[in-house]
Amino acid sequence: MATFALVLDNLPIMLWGAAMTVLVAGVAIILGMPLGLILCFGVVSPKPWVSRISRIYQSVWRGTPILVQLLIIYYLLPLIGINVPSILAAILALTLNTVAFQAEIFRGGLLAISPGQLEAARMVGIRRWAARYHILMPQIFRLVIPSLVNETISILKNSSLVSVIAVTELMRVSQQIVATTYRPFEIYIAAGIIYIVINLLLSLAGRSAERHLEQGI
Amino acid sequence: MIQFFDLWVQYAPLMLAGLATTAWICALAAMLGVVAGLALACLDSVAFAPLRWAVRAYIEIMRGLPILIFLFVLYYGGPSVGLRLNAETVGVFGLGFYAAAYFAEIFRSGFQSIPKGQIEAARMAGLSGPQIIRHVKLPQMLVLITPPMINQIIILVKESAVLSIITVAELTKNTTQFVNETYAVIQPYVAAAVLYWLLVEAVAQLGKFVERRVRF
Amino acid sequence: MRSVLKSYMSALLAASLSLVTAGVAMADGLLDRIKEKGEIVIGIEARYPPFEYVEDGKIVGYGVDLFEEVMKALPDVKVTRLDLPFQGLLPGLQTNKFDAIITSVTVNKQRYDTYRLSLPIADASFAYVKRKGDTSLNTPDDLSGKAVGTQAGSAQLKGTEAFSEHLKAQGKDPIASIQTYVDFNEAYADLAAGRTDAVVNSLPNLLYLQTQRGDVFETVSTTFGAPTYFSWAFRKEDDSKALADLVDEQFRRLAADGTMTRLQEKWFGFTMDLPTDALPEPTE
Repeated sequence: MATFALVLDNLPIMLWGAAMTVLVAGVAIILGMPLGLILCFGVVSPKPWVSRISRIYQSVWRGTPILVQLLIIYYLLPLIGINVPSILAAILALTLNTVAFQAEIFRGGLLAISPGQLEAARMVGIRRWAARYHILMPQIFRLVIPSLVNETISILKNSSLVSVIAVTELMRVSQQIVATTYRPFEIYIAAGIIYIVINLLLSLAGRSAERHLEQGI
Repeated sequence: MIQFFDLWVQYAPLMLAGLATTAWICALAAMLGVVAGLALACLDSVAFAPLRWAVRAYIEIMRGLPILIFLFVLYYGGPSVGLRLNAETVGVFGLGFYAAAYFAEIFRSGFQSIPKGQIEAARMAGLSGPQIIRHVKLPQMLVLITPPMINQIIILVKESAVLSIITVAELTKNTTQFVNETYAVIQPYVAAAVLYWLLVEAVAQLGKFVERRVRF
Repeated sequence: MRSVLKSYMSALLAASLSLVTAGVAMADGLLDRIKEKGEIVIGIEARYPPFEYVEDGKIVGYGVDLFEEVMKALPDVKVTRLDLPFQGLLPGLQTNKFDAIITSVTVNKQRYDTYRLSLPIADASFAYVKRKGDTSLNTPDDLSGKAVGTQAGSAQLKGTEAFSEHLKAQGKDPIASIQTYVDFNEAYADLAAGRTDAVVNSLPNLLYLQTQRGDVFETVSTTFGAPTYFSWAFRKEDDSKALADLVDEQFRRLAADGTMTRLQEKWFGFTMDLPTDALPEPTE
């Protein structure tokens, strides 16, 4: 009963934290989509230098932990004269990270679409980027929704690391409560349930988007 | 400038020890995760509905939960229910069972890619359920699931950074020690980034090797 | 879709421009710039009751009240607090993420040499907490042969190691093992879980822990080791000197007019004798 009261007392500020979690992760995911698509076209580019640079970018951002990426953006950029506020740094780091992963997801979708389509479009005189935009992108999006939902869940969970650069999101709020109540289990389990609920909602939204797009064909 | 590199030399043993710990814990956790994930995926395909629901619930909970919370509750909460394990053991099992949920999803997508007709044919030829998985499904789906499995192992390596919270002296914890003892910022984190990247590249190269092997 | 894409790009462009303009050049001292801007940015770790912690969504505590008193000397300056984990605080100060660390920094030799530390804000001498009812631990010397936990990279860790050496020099068994944690809360959790026998921390923190969780923990309040203090930290540059001097000067005023003892009574329930001429140089 005491446990219940403790969680209930702290629920409002935990939900505040959850809102920050959703904000930071959500903006990163949405910004990451167009940039991820561009990087994806960079990776498959016929120009060797474009594809080489795109691949190096991908390898670096996928190969290092988000924690390290956050710290580098927040603490090292000021040393070269760029001072980024916390929330912006968090969004920037998560965006640059998800771009690398989303590019790979889009590449998977691109591979599943027959290359003949693009050739046909080129043949009838549609320019390369126009063809990508009008013909490929709608199809890719339909194919990659499950993977995008996965990536969104993963960014949402990884956003629990941004407290290290002074963004007070759900995990940090929980730690603050633990620091004064010394009741880690009750609070962390409550936080875990909030994360699970948000991610379940995301999964459901993804599934309904899939159904909608299928009907749209 | 000389001083700049001195720190790296001075802290190389600590950082490399952390890298080694990260590597062996992740290797064991990945093996455990693959085996447990395959088991989950097999259970998910049986006819008994409550078992299927239990598997689905496990997968959804693990996928929705930050691993930090999972490990914290497992390590610090375990002793109160008689589960007293040392930090490395909790690290291996925690990461392994966590990854199992993701591996299970990968195996499931692999199973689904096998045409139904093949399985019916195999059943008619008198193969049992486990035999079908072993001789019909697994060999064919390996090509399809190797890339996402490697991807998942890479994610596992990076997520292992949270083991620092349960006192495992892995790369991230040792990096924190490096920072705390020297008050340097650049050298520790750049070193950590490079070491993680090397480990991940090694896994990626291993993946490419396996991919070539399973293709033919 | 196209207009959406366009607005992404302009938002990104705006963001990157604001990054460039943020890094401005500096001419006057830090204190002058703070007065000019009307804002001081401070780094704090709001997980350290009763010094600074979050209650009902607000950061409160002894350190917060004390800083409020100090800031009466700069009535037109607004305070912006950044709350971040301790591992991020000292690097953040170095990289100008904030003007000062206004959170309890336990003084040790290395920090004394690296930063400009303020006069002491409180006594930080070390003590330990045990599981309630553990009769084998009653004095500091009882730590001999026990498993002890504390925060990684902390002054408390250095103090614990030194105390272990001290036990050995006395012919007793040293501390059996010293386990380090990212945060004290994990150390307490592991003590409750039974993996360690005691957690070493500064006495004010342990007394607060006991008021909250007296059902699980019991503080052994005899301090050990050299007297240790909490301070606030500034950059050790001429640029920060005027600001740090101003804070010290205010401390002397608050000590003289009784404000400091009043705040100690309010937050700790007891008062402390603190030097106000200079911060004693730590030996280790």
